[in-house]
Amino acid sequence: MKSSDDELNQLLNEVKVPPAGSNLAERIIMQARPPSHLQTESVNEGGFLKQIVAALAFPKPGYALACSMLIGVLVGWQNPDVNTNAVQTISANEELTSLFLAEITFAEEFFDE
Amino acid sequence: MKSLEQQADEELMVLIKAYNHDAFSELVRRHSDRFYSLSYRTLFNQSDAEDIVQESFLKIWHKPELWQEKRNAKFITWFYRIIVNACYDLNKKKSSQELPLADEDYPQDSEVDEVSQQRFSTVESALKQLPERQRMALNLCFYEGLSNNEAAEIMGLRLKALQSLIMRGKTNLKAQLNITEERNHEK
Repeated sequence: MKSSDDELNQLLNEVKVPPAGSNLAERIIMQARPPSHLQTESVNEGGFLKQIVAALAFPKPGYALACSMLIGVLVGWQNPDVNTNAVQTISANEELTSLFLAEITFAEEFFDE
Repeated sequence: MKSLEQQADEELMVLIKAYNHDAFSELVRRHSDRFYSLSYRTLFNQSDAEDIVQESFLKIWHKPELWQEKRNAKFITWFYRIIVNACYDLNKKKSSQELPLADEDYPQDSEVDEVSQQRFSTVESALKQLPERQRMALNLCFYEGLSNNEAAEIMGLRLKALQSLIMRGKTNLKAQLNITEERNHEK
């Protein structure tokens, strides 16, 4: 004599699951690729040559501009012909002289009137 | 040092967080059949069940931070919950589109005799007619062999609520399959 639970369990056990199609696990594994930044590139001959060429390539415009400015500053700094202090002193003296002359002219005109 | 095959699921998840593809492969090989069975018994559609398992595993590969290591947390329980929720979502989507639940492409085994085939389809259709949560509770406890506590945790229910679902599920099945105590006593 079987209980109703036993009979139900027996019937439930007869329900089979069809097998998953063509290796489900391997398909999932194939679809899960490591992130690109973690993928290691093999350094073959072609890859190595590309790296050399890339190293010799012309720099980007930003780098080129910065480099040329740096070179300009260094060249200017080391050139002994250009004395900025002397140039500044001369120009200041000239300004003072012209100002003094302008004041004298103004005073002469004022007293003449 | 332990090989990947010897490592627990939770240890593999730590490696997967560091994008260890071998650890992921081991986890998939270890559990894909089990989760496919649960999905199939919930959805009764082979390709949908495969898609659910595939998408769920790929989700943990792309977002391994979803796995939060807590004390005594089991990977299996956590992943069952992901599968269960994915099945619920798909069923909801399908019911809104009013598509049939049955798998039309399921191949019939010609060697199985007619009586067994008929009984099989009767049981399967009875299972399909059960409310979703009753079916899930039976799947987890009967087919997956989980304890009532584990099944309750996976379904987000209290233990008594789960036991009630199982009882009602069994009663409904017995009614649909015409199984009664009197009939059994007569045998």
